[in-house]
Amino acid sequence: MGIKRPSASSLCVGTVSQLAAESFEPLATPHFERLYNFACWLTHDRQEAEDRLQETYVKTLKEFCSFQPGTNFRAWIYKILRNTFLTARTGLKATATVPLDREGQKENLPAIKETPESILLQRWGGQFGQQPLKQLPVAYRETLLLCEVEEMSYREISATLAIPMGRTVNNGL
Amino acid sequence: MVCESRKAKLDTYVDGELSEQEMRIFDAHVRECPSCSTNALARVQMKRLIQVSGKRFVPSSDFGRQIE
Repeated sequence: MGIKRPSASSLCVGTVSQLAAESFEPLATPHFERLYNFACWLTHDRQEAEDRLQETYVKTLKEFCSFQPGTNFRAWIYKILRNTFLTARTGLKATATVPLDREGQKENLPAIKETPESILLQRWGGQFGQQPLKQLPVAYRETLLLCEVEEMSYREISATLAIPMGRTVNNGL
Repeated sequence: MVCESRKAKLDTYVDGELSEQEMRIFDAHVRECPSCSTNALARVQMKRLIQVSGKRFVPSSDFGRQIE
């Protein structure tokens, strides 16, 4: 599509070594478009999504020395994006999945028996569309997106959202 | 109606997240049970709908240039 992905050298991080930057780039760039999509779904605003994604790449590169090779880079960078989003919304460091977006504050979470899928089915009413997905509380929306769009395993989702596996299954899926 | 005993695990089944043994047992049941197979199919279709509708936003070339 002719879109240039962020390169390590383009991110103004003076403390990162050239070696780290070179290792970072092949890991990070393949996720750029998917991260952007996820950021848009979180923020519902393209400008904010761009801001959060830029911050995410800078933070990820800064922290790259603490990344353990062989562990799940994708879960790590999605986690940083999500925490960046939640921090921007709340001003607090985010460590758990909570319904913090605007619609989440207006709307009670459904009973335990319900799942994101069952809520979507009710709201869709047999009609296909993106609006019901957009209207889900962020705690459910992000889980569905990670599972269905990003095709993450429950274990990966659990690592990304920093929640126990059991809660991933019960809460999100 | 989905079999009550298996209802709770239907989403886990269609996500392919059951253990190998559970998957074999569940799979055999779904092949025999019309209600569970219908519900499993509905969930698979919904997963595809979410996947399609979830892939929505593409970064602009301006943003790509800005990042560069």
